[in-house]
Amino acid sequence: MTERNIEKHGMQPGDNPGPDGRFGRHGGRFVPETLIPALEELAEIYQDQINNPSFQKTLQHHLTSYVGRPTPLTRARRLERELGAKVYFKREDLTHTGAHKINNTLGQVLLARRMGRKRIIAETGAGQHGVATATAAALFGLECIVYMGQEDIERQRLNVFRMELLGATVVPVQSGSQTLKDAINEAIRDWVTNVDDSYYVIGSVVGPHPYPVMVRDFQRIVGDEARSQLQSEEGRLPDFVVACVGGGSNAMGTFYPFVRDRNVRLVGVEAGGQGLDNMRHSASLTAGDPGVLHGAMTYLLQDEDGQIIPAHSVSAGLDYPGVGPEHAFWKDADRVEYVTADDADALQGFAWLAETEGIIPALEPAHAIGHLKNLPLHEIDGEALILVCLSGRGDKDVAQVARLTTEEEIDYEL
Amino acid sequence: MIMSCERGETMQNRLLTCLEELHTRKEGALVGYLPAGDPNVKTSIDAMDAVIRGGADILEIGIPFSDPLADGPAIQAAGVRALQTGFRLDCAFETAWSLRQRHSTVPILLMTYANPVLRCGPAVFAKKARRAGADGLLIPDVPLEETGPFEAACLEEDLILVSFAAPTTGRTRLQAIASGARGFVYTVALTGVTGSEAGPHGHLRRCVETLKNAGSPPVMVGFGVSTPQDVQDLAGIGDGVVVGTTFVRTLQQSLAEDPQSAMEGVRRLAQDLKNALRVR
Repeated sequence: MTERNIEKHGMQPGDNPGPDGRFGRHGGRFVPETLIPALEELAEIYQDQINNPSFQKTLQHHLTSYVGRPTPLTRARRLERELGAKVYFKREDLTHTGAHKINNTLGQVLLARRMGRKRIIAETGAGQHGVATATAAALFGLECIVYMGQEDIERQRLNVFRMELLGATVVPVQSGSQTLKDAINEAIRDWVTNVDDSYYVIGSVVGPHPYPVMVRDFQRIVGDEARSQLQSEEGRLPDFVVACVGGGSNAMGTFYPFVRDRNVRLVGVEAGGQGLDNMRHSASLTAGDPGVLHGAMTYLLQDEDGQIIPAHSVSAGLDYPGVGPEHAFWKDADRVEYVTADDADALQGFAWLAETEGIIPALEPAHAIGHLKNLPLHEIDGEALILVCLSGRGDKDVAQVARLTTEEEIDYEL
Repeated sequence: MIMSCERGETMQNRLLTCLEELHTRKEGALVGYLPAGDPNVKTSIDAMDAVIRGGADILEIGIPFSDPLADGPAIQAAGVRALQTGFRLDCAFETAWSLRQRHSTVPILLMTYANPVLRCGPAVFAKKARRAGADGLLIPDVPLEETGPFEAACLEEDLILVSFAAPTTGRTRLQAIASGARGFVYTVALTGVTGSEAGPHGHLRRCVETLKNAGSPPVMVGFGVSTPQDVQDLAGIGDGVVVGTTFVRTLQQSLAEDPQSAMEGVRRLAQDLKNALRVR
């Protein structure tokens, strides 16, 4: 079925979707009619602006002088010795606000400004995308409303305060499971109500067309930079590119510039949570089924009746029951290997990078780090070259890790 | 299960018959919505029965969904209550069937989101709906471009997939919606979710006129329609109204105040709303 579908659409990984926003059988636009004209307008303006030299010049200016790009590529020499392969980290943790999220929010807020929108809406789970959106909105003096699940607000007090410092209004979401998926529902409800004057900044490569394409294009700078940095360091392409996948924006941004290089193995690491058997995980590509959530067809965690099952992960940023539709297509096309790292793997990865390299990673990329020891390095002739996206810094997670490692006795020693 | 109420192969879809009769009688249509399973399956069936007895011409049964992004707080909360009691998809079909046995001619529509239909398989879902005595489906997160598999499944089972229009929809697109629509076009009165209090959008009248000029079937106006006054205000614009949130609230309030006469409160609301549609 999978192959037939790809053949029918004649689409290859790396190709852009047509006006229907379909990546093979995934993607599309499953939203109420009220939003369709706004999505059509957005797709049109986006196409226009992304190719517009003045838009690109403004974006590049802010990425350099405000975000701090290009971010470094750091070789991990002590970790390498333990792993037995050459490893480079793409340092998105060193951006302003400390994660890759800002690449996207800056691009989208610039777009909103060009569209004359004065009110910015966003959703947030752990608060990273909310902080990045509030930051971009503050930079351009726009009103910013961030929807956040009540449960997440209680878990991430500090980020709530950060957003408020940045002038944003944080609206608690008390519907459903009171987490990220419900915050997205609520942001869409706000957008459907205020569609005439508001702009919705979605936080990952999810949602209805053109969001998955747009967010990917704003994040591909991660992979573009890494590719050319690796070329000058090593003079060759990596054997493996590894990134964590929740909604999938850092993985999409890192993988996309390599997706047509068939010899580069792309490995997306989903959150295995407490294990795939008990449904307490966030592995929608590995263990989910196709369906429609938040405007797109993609792999989802759902029950027999098509009700969405809340995701679980030690890392709030991966805690999402869906995934970007382009990842779903890449899975069907067998272009990317999607695997899982559970909570314990992530905590090990967290401690490992801190001890060996003096870098405290966010719990999200800690999943990618935790998976490194499971890569099939023996399948590579000679010394393997690995690129890992270090999508964010771990300051936000330090208190939680301290709590987990002392109270629950999870063994995070390697 | 006695299948005597299932529509025969030759019988016209009840929704089409009903709309023709309303047209002849020059009456506005009242489409009454309640979510299945709230607060439990039996009570919700009795409440839907009261909506029909009060005078609703068409019944819309909401299927509880975990992520109802077109619905406001009242209907979301109703869905959560239903799912918490262990509501399963088959309970929705049983609900429809139970009402079909009590009311042989009233059109019954099932309102759901795309995912439960896709999970079940559109063909199986449509077959179950038809067997339960339903006449059509409403899926608010399936716009024109995505209707393919849903429309095909409905056609196979002689169900009507209701089309949606919005005040934000442009002229050309409204014309495309009008020409493809069967049964009626559900036009949302405002930009927002069910139960909004913002009042009708400034473009609503123009939207309905464009649909009509393009040869649309009857146009029903929904979202934010709650009082007989709202109904009267809108009666001149479309061919009828869809009312949901007010029924949910009235049922909940009546049950809290006096469970014995709760259904009478729901019935009277339907009656008042329908009376407002007779004055045209």
